[in-house]
Amino acid sequence: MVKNKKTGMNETKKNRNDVIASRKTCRTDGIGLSHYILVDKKSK
Amino acid sequence: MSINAIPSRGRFVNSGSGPALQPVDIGHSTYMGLVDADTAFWSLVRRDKLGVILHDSAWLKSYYKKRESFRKEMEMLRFGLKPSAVYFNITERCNLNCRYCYIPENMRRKGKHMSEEKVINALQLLKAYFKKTSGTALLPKVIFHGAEPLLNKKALFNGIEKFSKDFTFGIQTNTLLLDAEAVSFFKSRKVSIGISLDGPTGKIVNRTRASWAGEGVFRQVNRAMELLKGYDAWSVICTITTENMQSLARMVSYLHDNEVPNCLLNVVRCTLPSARKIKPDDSIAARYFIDALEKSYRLYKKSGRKLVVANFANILISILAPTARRLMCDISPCGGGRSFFALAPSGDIFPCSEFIGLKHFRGGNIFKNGINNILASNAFKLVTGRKVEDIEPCRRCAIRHFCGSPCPAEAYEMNGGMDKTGAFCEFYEEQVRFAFRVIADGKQDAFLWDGWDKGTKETFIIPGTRT
Repeated sequence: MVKNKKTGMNETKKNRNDVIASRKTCRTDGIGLSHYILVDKKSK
Repeated sequence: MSINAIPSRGRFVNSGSGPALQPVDIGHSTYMGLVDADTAFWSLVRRDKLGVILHDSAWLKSYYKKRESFRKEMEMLRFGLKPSAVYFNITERCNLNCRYCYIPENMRRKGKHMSEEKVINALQLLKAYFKKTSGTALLPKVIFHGAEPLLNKKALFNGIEKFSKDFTFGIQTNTLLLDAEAVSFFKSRKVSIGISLDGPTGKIVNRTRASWAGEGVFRQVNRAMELLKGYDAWSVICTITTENMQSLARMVSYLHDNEVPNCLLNVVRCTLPSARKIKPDDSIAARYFIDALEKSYRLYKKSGRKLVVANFANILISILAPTARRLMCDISPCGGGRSFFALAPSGDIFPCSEFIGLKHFRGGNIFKNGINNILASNAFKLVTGRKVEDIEPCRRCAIRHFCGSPCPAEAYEMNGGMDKTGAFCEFYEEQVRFAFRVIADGKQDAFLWDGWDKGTKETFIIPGTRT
C-alpha cells in the first residue's frame, strides 16, 4: 500500500499497467432515482 | 450524427473527427483519466507516460474500432428508452414534516388519498400500457412512493394483491406505519422496501425528519430495521444535508452494524426553497461522502459483508458498463419522463416525483388522457429534452455522461432554467474522480453488488485490466 499525499487515501500497488480500460454492455433496465432504488427484479 | 458522416477520417486524437480524449485529473498518484466524453469511453493512463500512450497506435486503434458502436450505445441509452416503471403516489398526505421534502407542505398536511377504486383502475391502465410497450423479459415496476403510502394502506395492499403477477412492486416508506404485519405482507410478495433515515442517532435524525408535532422518528425506524433484518430486498436512504454530513461515516457503520444490505447517501435535492436552507457546500459534502465510502470499504474488508452505497455503485457502473446503470438521475436526459414517470393521487402524471408540486410540469391525467399523449406533452418534453450538451459548463466537461448534471427540477426551480446546472457540481466531480481512483486500484468489486455484471458482455478490454 502507498499513501496518496494529495488525497490521503491508501492505494494498492498491484494494478500498474500503463493503460487500464474496459467496457461492458447489456440491455438497459435502469429505473431508479435519488428517492428510491429497486433492489429486486422479477421476470415475466 | 454518425462519426463516419463527417468529412474527416478521424485518424488523429483531438482534431477533425478524431476522438476528443480529454485528460482528467483523478487525484491518483500514478494514473490520470483519458476520456472521450461523447462515447463515455474511459481509460486510465500512467501520468508519466501520457505522451507515449497517446502515440501508441495499437490501443488507440482498438478504441477506434469500437468508437461508433459506443456512440450508438450512448445514443440508445440517452434517447431510445421507453418507460418501464411508475412512481405511484397513492396519497398526498404524510405523517412527517421533513425539512427537505419536494412535496409542498399543504399537500402533505391536508391532501387527499386516491380511492381504492381509482388505485385499481390506474393499475389496470398501467398494465394495458406496459403490455403494448414493454419489450423486455422483466416485469414493469410500480413503486409506491411519497408522501407516505402506508397512510392509504388498504388501497396499497389491494393493489399489490390484485396485480402481483403483472408488476414488480416496491415501496418507499418513513416506517411509522411499517409494522410486523406490513413487513410480512411485503416480504411474502417480494416487494422491494426502501426506508428513510438520516443519521446514526436520534438527535441527528430529528434535525431533518420529525412529525408535525416535532416528535422524532429514530426509535420507529430502528424497530422497522429489526423487522427487515435478513430480507435481501431492502435499502435505507440517507439524505445528506448540513445537519448530518459530519456523521456520514458513523452512519455507514451504523447501517452496517444493522445488517442493511443497500443504502443511498444522496445529497439533498434543492427543488423547493425549504431544502436550500440545509444545502451543504459541494466540496465539504464530497469530503464527508468519500470518507463514508472509504469507511464502507474498510467494514467490508474487516467483516466480509458489504453495505453497498447504491448511488456510488451506480457511478462506478456508469463507467464500467454504461447501460447497466440502475439509477437514472446521473445521465442526461435523466430518466424522468422517459424510463419512468410519476403518478399523483389526482391521477395527474409528472415526469418524476420531484415535479409533483410543480403544476407546469403536469403532462396530463391517467384517467382522461392517453399515457402516450402525456409522454409527448410539452411539459414532459421540457424534462426529456434537457441534455448536457446544452448546459454550461457540462457541454465541455469530460465526465458529463458519468454525472448527467442532475437534477432538472433543481435546475429549473433553483437556477432558472433547463440549460442550467442543478444545485451541485463539484460534489459529482469528486464522486467520479473517486470512482476512477477505485478502478485504478482494482477495488471496484468491494463497492458493487455481487453479480452486478450478470447478463453483461465485454465489449472492450486492455489486457491486464481487472474487471
